[in-house]
This record gives sequence, structure tokens and C-alpha cells, in this order.
Amino acid sequence: MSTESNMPTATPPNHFTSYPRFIFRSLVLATDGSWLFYAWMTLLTAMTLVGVHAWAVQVRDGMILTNMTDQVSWGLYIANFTFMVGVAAGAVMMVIPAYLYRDKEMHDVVIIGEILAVAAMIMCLLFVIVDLGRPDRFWHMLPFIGRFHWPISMLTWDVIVLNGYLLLNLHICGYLLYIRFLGKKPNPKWYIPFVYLSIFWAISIHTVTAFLYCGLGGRPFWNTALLAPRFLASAFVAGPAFLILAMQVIRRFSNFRISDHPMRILVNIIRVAILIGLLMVVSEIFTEFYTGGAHIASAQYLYFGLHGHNALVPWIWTSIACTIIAAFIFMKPNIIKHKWALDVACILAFIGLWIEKGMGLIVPGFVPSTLHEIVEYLPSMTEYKITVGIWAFGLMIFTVGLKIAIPILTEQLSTQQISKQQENEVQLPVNSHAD
Amino acid sequence: MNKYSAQTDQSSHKNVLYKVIYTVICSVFALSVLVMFGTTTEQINNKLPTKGLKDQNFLNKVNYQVSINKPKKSPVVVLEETDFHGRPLTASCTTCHSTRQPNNTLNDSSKLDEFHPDLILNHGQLSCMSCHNAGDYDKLKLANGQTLDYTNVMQLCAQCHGPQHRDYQNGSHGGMQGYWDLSKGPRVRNNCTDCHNPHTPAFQKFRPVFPPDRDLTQEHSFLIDVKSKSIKGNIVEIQENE
Amino acid sequence: MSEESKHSLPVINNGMSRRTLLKGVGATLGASSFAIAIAPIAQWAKDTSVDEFLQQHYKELSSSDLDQVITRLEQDAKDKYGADVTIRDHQPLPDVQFAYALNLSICIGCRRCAEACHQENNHDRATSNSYIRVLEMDKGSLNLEHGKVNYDHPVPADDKFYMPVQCQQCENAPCVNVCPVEATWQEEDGIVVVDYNWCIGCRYCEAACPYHARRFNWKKPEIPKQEINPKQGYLSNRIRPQGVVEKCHFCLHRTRQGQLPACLEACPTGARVFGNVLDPDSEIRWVLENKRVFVLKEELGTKPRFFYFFDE
Repeated sequence: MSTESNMPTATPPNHFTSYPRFIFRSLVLATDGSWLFYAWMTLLTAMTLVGVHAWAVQVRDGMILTNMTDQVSWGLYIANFTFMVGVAAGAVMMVIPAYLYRDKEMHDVVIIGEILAVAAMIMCLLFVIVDLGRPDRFWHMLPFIGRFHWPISMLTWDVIVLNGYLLLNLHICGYLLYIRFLGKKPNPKWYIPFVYLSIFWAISIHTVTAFLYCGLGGRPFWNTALLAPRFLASAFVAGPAFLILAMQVIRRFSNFRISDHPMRILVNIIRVAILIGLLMVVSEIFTEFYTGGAHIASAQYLYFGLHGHNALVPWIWTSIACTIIAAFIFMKPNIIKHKWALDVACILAFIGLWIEKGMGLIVPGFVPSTLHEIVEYLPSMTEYKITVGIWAFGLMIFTVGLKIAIPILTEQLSTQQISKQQENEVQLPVNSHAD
Repeated sequence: MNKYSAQTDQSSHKNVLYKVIYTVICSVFALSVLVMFGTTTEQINNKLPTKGLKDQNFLNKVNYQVSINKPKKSPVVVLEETDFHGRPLTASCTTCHSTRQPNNTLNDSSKLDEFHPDLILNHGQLSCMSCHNAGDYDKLKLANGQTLDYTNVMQLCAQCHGPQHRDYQNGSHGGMQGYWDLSKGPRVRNNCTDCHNPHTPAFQKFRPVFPPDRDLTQEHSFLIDVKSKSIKGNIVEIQENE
Repeated sequence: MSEESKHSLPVINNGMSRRTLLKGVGATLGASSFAIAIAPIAQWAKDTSVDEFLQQHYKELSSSDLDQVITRLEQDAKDKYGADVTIRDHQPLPDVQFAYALNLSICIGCRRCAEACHQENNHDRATSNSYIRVLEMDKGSLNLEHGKVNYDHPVPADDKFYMPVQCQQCENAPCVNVCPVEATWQEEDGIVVVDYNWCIGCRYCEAACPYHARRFNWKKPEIPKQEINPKQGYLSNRIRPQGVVEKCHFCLHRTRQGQLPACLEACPTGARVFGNVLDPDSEIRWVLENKRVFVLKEELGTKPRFFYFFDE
């Protein structure tokens, strides 16, 4: 057994046999776990299937099933897309300390951030696909096969950076896990350049996504230079907030040891970013309302309602309240010791920014319309179902990713440790059977 | 750098934090430069809308004509009697008016107690005789006293409504049907009285058609109703009034 | 793989068999419920032929390709709507640059142009779609914020003027710039067109257009057979597929044959002026040279081909 597994390290490993084995073991790992895990995955699968069905009906019957109109032509899907780009970009806040500044403890857990980036990126792509009127023509957007309107269309930039970021993170995660699985030391040549590229790339995904909106002269609400910095600031709150929550869950449900140090760095990043974000929101609000004029119509609609239309007012004030409360809790000097408060703060920040970046940013850009018609928008049941489905699918990817990564990283699963791992697995069903 | 990151005290977090912020700013800058390079080149090549506007050597092959709708030769009154074939008989204006004295100063239609009871005159300060020809009621009269056929009524209107007439002649008043390109087909134009009732020339108010809302199923009956009614006032209305 | 199973099987045989079975059942259940969930796609795919799926961009179609496509589309119209239609591919005319002008002094806001557009261009009947929206504006202000589209009282109302807005056929069109797949572009004669068989329906152009000129087919258009306008153009008024964006094309199936656009013919007051700006004797040229024209949202630099003017 041990001689077998030591063989690859002695001679160059045969990737044609070891890689499929890695994939197979990953699949086994991904589908094994406690009853709680099965319940969680079943729930997510069910929610995903609801989303899949709603989407299939939407494709068949047309997007009339959504509440979008020619006036408000983007809704919940693009709102979530924008937010998830931020979450993916926020994950880089683990990569920068880990690789650029060689923070050892962060380096140990950085894979969580990379897996989050992968999951969030896949969600982004799904949110774009469900927003397409003709998903069957997706191939028109592929370079060389279709007609790729690059570099003029900002959306083509977004396609490049989103897919590029997904591939970069898939490569980094895949490579590191595979090498660890082989029980070898990663060769920096094969991943460090990609890590550095991914740092630049993470910033770019959110900047380019902001450019999608702020480059439109006909939409004064979006047409502000502050949009990209605001996006980044909120991304660097939402991403780390989710990561802190994820790390707490991992600590609880696995034997992956995570120290307080990485969390402390993330909390510090959130502290700075959330204040910068709030400052920028205040500057926007001041500029809009002190200047007045026709351009404030959207902001007026968002914050206070316009001519009796106020569908978004409760949303945005919830968001502002959540963000401000979260900012106060984060300011607490030793918040890291108070896990309960930390969790609350992260959840509040996450919800607050989800509203602000989503419904609070995309929808008011369309209200009033370019001809100043006020057509209100709230998502339809189909939109909620599809959105929930994509979220469930994203969480599934994240769970599965962690499920594979953690045993490999904690060296429960490498070629040397396989037998030990299997013994552990035998224990689990017995325990749950007793339940 | 290693020696800082090995520590876990607050100062090391701050250090990392500054570096993180620095990295973000640098990346944003680099990216903006990249995007700008990508997108601005095309803008410069944008052709101007005035391209070749003046110096175009335009070959204007006019094969077809612009024809203007002519009003009836002169209005008639429809009588209750019918002829041999059952068609209603008509009488020209002169039939009655030749036996009556013209009232040159009459400008109030309510004083018409015997004939034209429904006629409403609301056309500036004009009196009947401003346009109608006392010498020949089947003809009109210009301001200089010259007799004018009903078919040339536009000349009469143009005496006062110069700007409108000028716009009409240049195609920006009055509407048209057919071809913009006269080398491919003819064009038909309205005359003034197709749209304006000469006695009450101001456009009558009416319900607009085709409301823009998304779901209009119950409003469709109203649409058809309005559609069937022409908004075009017409000089021949006199017939209907009798 | 084989060596994997060799040493894993004996060890876990007892514990795993049950679990493996459960996994198998779970996977089967999952797969079958996925198949059920996704089933509506199959119903939808029945309506979409392989040819349609693989069709190339308009500019890459050879004339024989295009003939085939048009034959297919005409057959589709017959099969799905029961109408005999003729679809032509109208080419831009040489030495022609179209422009449009609208006299706000005499527009009475009757919305006949919008209605004519609806009928001419085979719009969905249920949604009353039209490329034209007529704004009722306060006299003394050009601020669109005071515009109202769903007025329903006798027109023209006192102290109001009416401003129909449709595609401005911008020279520097934001919608063309943002399209990720080049499904929309400006033709030689200035008309911005959409290839309905290439558009992916992302609606970025709708977000980018400052004039609310674009419309999305939220569902398959429904038109009674007898109301379908059979004279159709490939880039203009043919019945659009579900899920793509469409827009005003200055009735290119008419105007490229020398005819006037449907909205102009419907206008009861003659507020609309259309023509070739390169022709010095054209009406549109006279308006541009003699009236004080303006364009909407000039500050955005879109360079519209649609002009407005007042008499007084």
C-alpha cells in the first residue's frame, strides 16, 4: 500500500491514471458525509430543480413570465449577477494577503476564497444565461464562432473577465488540490503567476461590471464615475463577510483548523471597506439631492418614492439600516472574540449590500424610464424561483468544493492517507444509523 | 515580508491592510488604462452625419407627379326628392341664392334662421362674403375681388395663412401619401379643406386612439369606434347638414 | 481506477454497500426529476429547427443562404400564423441618407402614427406594441419629466403639446455600441437594424438607448391571420421570434422602395417629414435648412437623424 502510493513521488507520476483517480476520489468525497450533509444537499438539489423547472417554462413561454418590461428591462437576475460578481471579487481579499504578502495562516485557508470565487462565478454566468431571451443562441457570443463585438461592447469585456476569472480559479484550485492529492509540493511555476494574474483579474471583474452600467449616458443614475469604486468597496465587504461566515461553519462541521488570524485580517478589510462604501453612498446622495434637477428622479424614487410610486423605498432603507448597524458592530475592537456579534454583523452586511447592489442599483436605473415614464418593478414568482435555484446551485458547488478540498488539505486524503480516510468513512453510517 | 506576516499582532494586520489597499488601487488604474485603449479608437473613426450633404451630385429623376386632392367643383345641397333612377336630386348654391339679396356684413351664423341652420362660422373676423362670391355663388372670391373656382380653394386660404402655405409647399404641413422618391412612384397630398372645415378651421378636439398600455383588451372596442370616424372635416358637410 | 477499487472494496464492503445503494437511488431520483424539471425546454425546442439554430449572422449569409432562410421564414409564417407572406431583403439605396423631422406645432397627439406602426409592423396585438410613444408635454417646457404617455382625454388639450418619440437612428448609437454579438448595426442609409435571428436577447441595448426606442418580445407575437401585413422585409417588419429585441427601422421595407413610412402616411396633420437629406430638393432638406430644428438629448452626443421643430 505505502509502496504503491510512494511510487508517484519517486518517478514522474503518470497523470493519465492519477488524474482520473483524483477526479473519482473527489466525486466519492463530494457525495459522502453525515445525514446532515445529505439533508443539506437534498434541500439544495430540490431548490435547484425548482429553479430549473421555472427556467425551462420561462424559455418556453417567454420572459413575459417575469415582471420585467420594456421600461425596466433588467431585474432580479441582473441584480443578483452584479452582486455575485462582487462576492467573487471579494474572495481576492484572501488571496492578496496569502500570496502577495506571504501571510502563512491566510495561505492555509485561501482555498476557501478560491472555491467561493469559482462558485460565485458560475452563479454569475447562470444569472446571465437565465436573463437571455434566447439562451439557445449563446454561441453567438463566442469569439471566432459567433460575432464577438470586442472591444466596443462592454459586455464582451465582461464575458472575457468573468470566464477568465473562473478558469484562473479553477486552475489554481484544481492544481493545488491535485498536487496535494499526489502528496507532492506544488511547483510555484505552475500556479504563482496565475495567482498574481487572478488578483488583477478579480479587481477587473468588478470594475468592468461597473463599466457596463456607468458607461450608459442615457441612464443618469448609473452614469457616475463613483460606480466602479463603490462596487469594489461593497465587494470587499460582501465577499469577506461571506467568507467569515463560511469559516465559522467549516470550524463547526469539520476538523479543518482555522485560526482567528485570517478572520481578523478579513474583519479589518471589512472595517475599512464598509466605511469607504458608506462614505461614497453619502457623497452620491449629497451630490444628487443638493444639486437637484431632473437627474435626481431615480434617486428620489429609490430613497423617497416619486409621484406616489415607492416600491423600492422599504428595500433601500432596509439596506441602509443593515449596513450601518453592521458597520457599528464591526467597529467593536475585539469583535473577533464575540463570534455571535461577528456573525450578525456579517449577515447584516451581506443582506444590506445584496439589496444595495441588486434591487437598489439595477432597478432604479430604469425608473423613471428614459422617457420619464414611471413603471415599477418587483420580481415575479418565476424570477424568485429561478434566483433561489441558482443560489442553491451555487451553495451546492461551494459545499462540494469544500467537501473535496478540506480532506485533501488536512491530508486526510492523499495517496498516503486513503486507507485512513476510508476507515473514518466506515464510522459515519454506523453513527447515523444509531440516530 | 515574511517576518511581518509571521506575527499575529495588530500592526501586522494594518501592514497587510495598507498593502491590500495599495494593490487594489494599482489594479484599478491598470485596468482603466486597458479599457480606455480598447474603446476609444473606434469613437474617432465615427463618421459624421453631415457626410457628403452639400457636395453630393444628386441625380433627381422625377418620373412621377405630386397630385393634390381637389375639392368638388362646387358644393351642392342634397334634396329630399329623387330622380328617375332613385338617386337624390341636388341643387347648386345658385339655385336659391340667385333669388336672394346678399348680406355683405353677415358674420354670425346664428342669424341664419331659414337655411344652413347647423352651420357654425368661427373663422377669425371673416364674414360669409369674405370668401363666397356674391356674383356667382358656385364660385369663391379672392380678397382682390377675383373669382376663384372651388377646386383652387388653397389659393384663397393662402392669402391669410402664408406661413402654413409655405410649409405646405415644402412638405411640412398637411400630410401626404405615396412615395418620397418620385422616381419610383407618385405622391398624393391633401388640400386645406381635407383637414380643416373652412367655417371652423381650428382642429376639433377628439379622443386619441391606441392607448399605449400593456394590456388593453377591454379598450379595443373604443379603439374601433374612433377609428371608423374620420377626423377630416369636409366642405361637403354642408350637404349632410341640410 | 482499477487499483483504486482493488484496495477500497474489501475494506468498505460492509459499510459502503448500503451507502452506495442510497447514492445510486439518490442519483437516479435526481436525474429523473431533473429530466422532468427541464421537460418544457423540449416542448420549446420542437419549434426551433436545426437550421434556425445554426443560422449565421445576416452579413455572413450568401444570397443563396438568405434565400433558404427566407423560404423557411415564409413557411414558418404559414405554419404558425396561417398567413401567406412575402419576405424580401431590401438593400439600402445608393446616394440616400434618410432623415426624419417632426413639427411639434401641429402634432395633435392623436397617436395615429403609433397605431399605424402597430399594424404595419406586425406587432403583437395583445400588448398593443408600437415603436412610437407619444408624450403629452407642458407648453413652455421640453423637460421629458413632465411628459405623459397614457393621456386619455380629447386632444389637443390646451396648454399642452405632443411629442412622438421613436428610434432616432443615431449616428453614434449607444445600442449598437453595447451589443455583444453585433446583432444590431447601422446601415449605409442611416437606419439602425436588428438581425432578429442573431439577437440573443440580453437587452443591454434597451438599457443603453436614451430614447426608449427598443422593444423586447416578451412572448411570441400573436396576430390574427387576416391582420398580418404580408409585405415584409427581413430586417424590418417580418414577424419577430420570441425573446429578441426589435426597433423602429423607418419602415425600410417601404422606404427603400421609395415609399413613405407608415407613421407619416397616417399623420392627419402632416407633422411628419421624411426624405433623403442628400437630395437638395427634398422636403426634409428644406426643413433642416429653414426651420430651427433640434434633437432630443443632444448632450448625450448620439447624433440623431430624427429632428423636431416648432413653427412659431
